[in-house]
Amino acid sequence: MGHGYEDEFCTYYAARGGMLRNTAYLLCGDWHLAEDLTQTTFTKLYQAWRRIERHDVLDQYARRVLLRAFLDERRRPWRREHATVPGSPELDGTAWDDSGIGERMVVRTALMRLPKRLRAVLVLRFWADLSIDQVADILGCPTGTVKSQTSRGLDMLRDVLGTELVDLQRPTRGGHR
Amino acid sequence: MNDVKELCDRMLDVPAPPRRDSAVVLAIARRSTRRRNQVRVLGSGLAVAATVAAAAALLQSARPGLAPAPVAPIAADTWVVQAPPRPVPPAQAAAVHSKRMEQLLLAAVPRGYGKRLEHGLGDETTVYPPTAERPPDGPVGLLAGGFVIVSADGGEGQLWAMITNNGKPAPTGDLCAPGQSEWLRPTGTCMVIVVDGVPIQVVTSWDAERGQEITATRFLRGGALSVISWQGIPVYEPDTRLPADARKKPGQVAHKPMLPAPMLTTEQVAALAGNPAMLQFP
Repeated sequence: MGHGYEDEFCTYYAARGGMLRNTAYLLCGDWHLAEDLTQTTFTKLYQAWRRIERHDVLDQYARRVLLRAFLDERRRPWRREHATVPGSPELDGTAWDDSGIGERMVVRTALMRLPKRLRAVLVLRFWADLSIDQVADILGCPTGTVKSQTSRGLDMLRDVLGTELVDLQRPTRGGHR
Repeated sequence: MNDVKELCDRMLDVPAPPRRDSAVVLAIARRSTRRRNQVRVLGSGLAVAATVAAAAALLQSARPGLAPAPVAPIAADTWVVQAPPRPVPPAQAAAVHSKRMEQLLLAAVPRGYGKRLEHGLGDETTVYPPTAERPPDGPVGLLAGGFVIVSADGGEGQLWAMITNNGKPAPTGDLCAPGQSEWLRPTGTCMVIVVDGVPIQVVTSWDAERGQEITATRFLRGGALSVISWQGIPVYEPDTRLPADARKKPGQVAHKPMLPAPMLTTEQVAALAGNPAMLQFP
């Protein structure tokens, strides 16, 4: 490797790359795009690595970079042009397990129907278990906006799911302040 | 299941494809950073050029008796200020010059990599005169070349160079223009890097077997010198169309994965192509 900071960078990727890619997948619903978003995030992290003084808040910084990459990526008309290498055996070789696929498709479809910012709020609050303040910091908006978008996102999710997954009809918990 | 977290967990409850190795992520990040820095150099260079041009225009308007000096066009992808053009060397070399090329290639392999030579081209010392132009789809004459297998972490790549002869004059103008070079792969990214005043066409592309492929070409009178860096080596497929009574069957060559990261940068490959010692008649 040659440079100490590159060793640190690789160690951080090994430890947190999976979490970030899962977050990216929940946001975009596509493993290939999730891989690209994760790479984009780590490329930006690499470029900023030596300027980052507080590595204890790296996760928060990385999530913010990922969110920005996700929101920017969805705006581009040529998105996916620089997706992973065509025919990549890593990504193309994995088949889904058939068991429970219908239910997962319903869940995935429901999430993907939400506007991307609402989806991001729900994923960050309830899956990544971030506080309202942290989500507001990542999205660059007031905490009140996060609260209202959380409420709207949950309502829309319930509407979209309808009777497919009745459990979500109950009051939702998760996330913390 | 009564919350969004479980809903997300359910969505993730699939065998996810394997993640990229950290070395690959690092290599891509490095490459992207290099490109960004090059764009910055280009941007600052263009800004300086614009400032100089504006100043020159002001001076010119103040001295109406003088004709404007010719300004050389700057190719969009050229990021180093161009020096005055030099005479273009001929595409001529004896096969024995390959040994010199091999030594230069070996010396260019970064420390920490294993390296070994392959495909020696012999000791022939005859220098043949330049040939007439070959047909567009005809074979290109290989005059001299060197082939180095580079290894690290169980993977293998290849660094090689060759002087070829096609009888055509060296192209002028934008070296990245369409149809300018037979080496310009359609999926590649082309740029021009000037090494000691010599413009080198550098094409970077990706191939599933070769990984990152960097081809740096110095155009010569009647041919070209190309230096090529492959992150991986394509799978060898023996020719099975043999006579029925053939005794020696082609052997299978064990294929190794590609290097974790490209061994050389585009600038390093371009520097090799611009090294006058790679030519027998610089």
